[in-house]
Amino acid sequence: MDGVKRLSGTLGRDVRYLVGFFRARPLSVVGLVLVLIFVSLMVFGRSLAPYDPEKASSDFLFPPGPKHWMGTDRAGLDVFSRILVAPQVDLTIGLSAAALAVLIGTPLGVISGYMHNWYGSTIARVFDVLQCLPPFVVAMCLVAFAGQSVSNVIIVIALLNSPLFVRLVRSKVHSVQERKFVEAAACLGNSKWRIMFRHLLPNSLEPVLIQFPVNAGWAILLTSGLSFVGAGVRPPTPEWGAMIAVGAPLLVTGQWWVAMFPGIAVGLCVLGLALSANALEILLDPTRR
Amino acid sequence: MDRPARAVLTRIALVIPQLIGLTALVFLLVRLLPGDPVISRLGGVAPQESIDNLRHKLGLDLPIHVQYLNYMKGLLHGDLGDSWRTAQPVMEDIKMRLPATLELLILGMGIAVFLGLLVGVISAGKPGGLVDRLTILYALLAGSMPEFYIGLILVFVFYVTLGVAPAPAGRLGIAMLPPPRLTGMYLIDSVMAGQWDTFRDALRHLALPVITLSFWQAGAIMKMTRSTMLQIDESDFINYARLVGVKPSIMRRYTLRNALPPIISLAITIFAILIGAVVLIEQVFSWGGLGQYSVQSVISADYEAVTGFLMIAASISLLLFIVMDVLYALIDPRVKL
Amino acid sequence: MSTGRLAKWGLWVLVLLSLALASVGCGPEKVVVTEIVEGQVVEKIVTATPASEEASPAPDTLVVLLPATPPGFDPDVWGGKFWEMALVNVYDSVMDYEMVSEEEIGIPKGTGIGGVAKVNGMGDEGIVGNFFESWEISPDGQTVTLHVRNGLKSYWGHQATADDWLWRVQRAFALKDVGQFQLQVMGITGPEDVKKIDDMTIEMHTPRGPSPIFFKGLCVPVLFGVDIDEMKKEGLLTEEDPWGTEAFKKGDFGFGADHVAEFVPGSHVKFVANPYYWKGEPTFKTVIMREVPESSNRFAMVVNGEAHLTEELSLVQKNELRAGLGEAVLLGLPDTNFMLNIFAQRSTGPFAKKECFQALGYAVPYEDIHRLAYMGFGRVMHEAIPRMFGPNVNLDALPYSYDPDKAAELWKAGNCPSSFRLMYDAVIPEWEDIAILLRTEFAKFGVDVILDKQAEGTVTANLSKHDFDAVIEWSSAAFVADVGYGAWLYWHKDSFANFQAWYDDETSAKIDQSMLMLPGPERTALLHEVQVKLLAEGGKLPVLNTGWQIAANKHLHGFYWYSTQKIRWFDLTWE
Repeated sequence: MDGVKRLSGTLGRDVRYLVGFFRARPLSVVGLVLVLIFVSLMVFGRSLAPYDPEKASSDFLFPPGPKHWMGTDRAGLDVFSRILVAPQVDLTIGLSAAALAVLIGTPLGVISGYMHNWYGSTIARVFDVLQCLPPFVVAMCLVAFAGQSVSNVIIVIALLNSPLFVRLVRSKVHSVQERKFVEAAACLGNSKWRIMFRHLLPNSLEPVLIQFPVNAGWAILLTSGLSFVGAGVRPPTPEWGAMIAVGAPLLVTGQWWVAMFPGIAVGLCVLGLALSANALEILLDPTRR
Repeated sequence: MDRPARAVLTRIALVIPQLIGLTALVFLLVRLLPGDPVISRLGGVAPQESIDNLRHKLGLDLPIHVQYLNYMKGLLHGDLGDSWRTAQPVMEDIKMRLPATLELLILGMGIAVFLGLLVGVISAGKPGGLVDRLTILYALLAGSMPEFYIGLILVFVFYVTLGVAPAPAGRLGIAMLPPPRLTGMYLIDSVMAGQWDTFRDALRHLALPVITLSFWQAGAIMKMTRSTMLQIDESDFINYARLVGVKPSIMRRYTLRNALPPIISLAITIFAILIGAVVLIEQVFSWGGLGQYSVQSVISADYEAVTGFLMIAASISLLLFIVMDVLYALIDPRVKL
Repeated sequence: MSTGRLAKWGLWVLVLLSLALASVGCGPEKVVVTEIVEGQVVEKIVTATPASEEASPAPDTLVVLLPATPPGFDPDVWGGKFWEMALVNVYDSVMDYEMVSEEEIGIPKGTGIGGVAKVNGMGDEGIVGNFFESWEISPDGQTVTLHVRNGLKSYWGHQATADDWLWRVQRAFALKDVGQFQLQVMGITGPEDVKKIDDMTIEMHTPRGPSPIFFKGLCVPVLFGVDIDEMKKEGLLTEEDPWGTEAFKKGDFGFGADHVAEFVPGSHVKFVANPYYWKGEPTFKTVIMREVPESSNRFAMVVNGEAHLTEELSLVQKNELRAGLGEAVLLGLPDTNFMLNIFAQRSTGPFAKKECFQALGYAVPYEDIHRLAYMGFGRVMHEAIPRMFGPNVNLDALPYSYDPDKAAELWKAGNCPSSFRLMYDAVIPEWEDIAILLRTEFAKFGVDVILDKQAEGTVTANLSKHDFDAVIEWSSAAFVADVGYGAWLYWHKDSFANFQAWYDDETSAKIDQSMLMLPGPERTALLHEVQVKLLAEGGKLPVLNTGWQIAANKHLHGFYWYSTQKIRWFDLTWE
């Protein structure tokens, strides 16, 4: 009885804190709402779409109107439906690529940060080299080689983004390992690996968590860029960048809706992720509560 | 030898193996491209004899490590092979187009940094004020949109709708001839030659792509400047200076100077990001620089051109990162290389 | 009334009268234009942009916009479409087709086209000389004596001689590339078949038999004389480079109407008129061919008058120009020798089985593709070789029509796989629309069509290696306007352009037979028979004749359709 009361007391305090937090920072609310919207579209988008987003029709190049709220493109595909279904591809790629980049980069970052022998430096140097490759051209080459599938795009983007996490974790580990508890663990006879993964890793996750949504946003931008140069996912898969690419030449002939709406959608999605990252940053930083 | 110097030298010494690794990686990467460059070049209606002839002439029938060694030998002499698309040596192609891209990058970066620093300092001066709020909003919005989309919108508004910007079709109007080549950058060259018409035309054509680039990334610099300055503002030595009664303007100068290292590192990172993004901007504006060249080369399976471009771009990035690391080590003694 | 006043009155009357007359005469022209409104093709009567509303002087320089500059000017190194465009202007061809009306070659009338090449002749019917001004054919048809034109001079003023042609032939056989192929196709087996009789006379011999396409072969613009006097003078023929390959990368040495004055790869090519050109003086002394990769930029520049000529626009852009827009108008022909096809690989893979290919034939929505994806441009095609090639074309050769039920039936009957890859060029937006249409059709009976968008080079490479299931690709009916040759090129088992890998001995033998027959009713009957088989099983489905559309400044005139579908700037005038 007593324990429950104590628990709910802590819970209640946390909830009250969060409510206050969000009230003081309307932008964070906006961010969260946006992320929620797009995540739900990721799941429910297809059932909400009024038209089949991949089925050609004879209504081509309709301007926005009662039959097609955001108009149609050259193949008669409904823009609104495609925007609703696109998160299934874009957000999946964004989140998966960021997650994969974290999975690759974090352990390597810990190793490289803690081990001061040639092991550690080599990892850092190798990822330095990877980070030097101009992303679009390299991504174009890789996707052209491996084929235009969602999984390939995810892997390619994750590979291109992982050096960032290696660097991030590495520098965090540098500062964490100076702390007393690490010294203590070493004195107690913990093996290097145990120190790295039992002590250093959990304490270095903070920048990773904050960077994750930002990275997901970059992944989405990179995907749309790839589609713009024709190296993204296979058509007619609805994907914001591909929609902008199709709409770009149509801007000059006056059919602005094909490119305009998907661009706004990408912007909102990535904005939501960035705002959430901001909110996370403040939440996780005990000095700013 | 003291630690920073030794660390710096170690870092520089590692450049060679890194470059070798980089070149090998790039070489292999391009060889993975699908499409047969020989058949692409001949257009598909060629007899087998022509195909075999050309394959032999290009050295594509040799084993891959031999091809790599030959390539590296050429690279050391400044020979990056010939592009089949332009029938020029790749080195010539790159030399011709590099200034176009550099002009964009330098101007875009310059304006982004200038605006970023300026607005960042102002908003750090009054945290929570109107300028501050707007800055944060703008930074968030601008960085969330794809850069090519921003370019397209600008084209749509200023060219298609308002008609004030020139057609997004290159660096100069059709009737204009480029100025005599000194640096390859039209703004500088036209001034040096006194060709003011050309200067104006080049400036008009530079406007939209440069605005796209700087608009896109200025926000990040604004944010970083603001947050770093605020952080330092709360630090001990600034508080001490305030207590002691140092003039606010002098204090601001100190703050800025201390805020520089992370800002510099961010600037360099952003420069690297811009190098990557300029590819897409060049597509939108038909700029005729290295970015467009690289995209067309990948699309045409032009092995030599893609390899050459990647080698140069990656090497520049590598050097940038080394500079950044070295600067950091020199400025901040806490950083271990 | 004083004379002065009378004079003033008179002048005023005159002025008013002429204005009245003028306004009656030049009312705005009304044209019938097809437009796509909400998915329906409608015909509207609109006011055409008057051709000479504002008197505008001819610009000094003609500005032509293209997606890419050519890689060079070497006639023996294939360089793609824009290479061909440059070539026809700096070299001309050895012979030309006579220019006739559209009616004469059986195609519908075009817009703004002054004449079309008479490609449906037999033998040397309808052929006019260019490099060679006259010729005699031996009684057995195997030897032709040709006389070089007197007065044909290069940019440097050198008179053309037999040596200029002989060297070209020798070069072709030495470099074993495009030139050699073209000559062999015409029946010339080697340099020994071409002899110099005297400075201005050449004798050419086809040892294997009379070639029905000998003269048509000479109309292809990769064969032409080269001014070797100039090349020798400039020291461009060296021991290491006896055929001047380095020189041809940067410029030309032709007897044509224009000459390459400046070439900046990736940027532009500047041409100047040949002051000694035998046909006379052109309207434009300078022509600039500029590289502008984005079609929307090319569109915008022609509309606002910054540039005067471009092709390769998207269909939406072409549609905008139908009634004229700004300074630009759309000209062209609905029916030429460029065909849009769906190739299906017939040796291995999903379409190896007859039923599966037949199902494909019934599944293609031909009318929808024409109406929707192509916005009414071009013409639906039921023949294997474009109809303009004359009476040898079997106009009803295609046994298939759009029948989705039959397609589903056949697909099931043939036990065809549940998915296949459809490849197409990434650069052509309307092909993606076609791919999506096709995908929707196959989805109706549960077949998943995987869209495989690739770069042009990859598509071509995959076609050559037969590494595909189905591909949307256009093909030009051979430049040599002969049905037998066209059949050989795309369907013969030994042809390298038989991308579909359809190896049918019987049909190949029939095609071979036709290539050794003289023109006549026997040959026509044989070819008609062959064409039915080609379309029923050959793996190359005709979808559309894409026609020819040019976006040009409204003041430009003088467009003619040559068999290569490339514009010769010399023809152009300005009003």
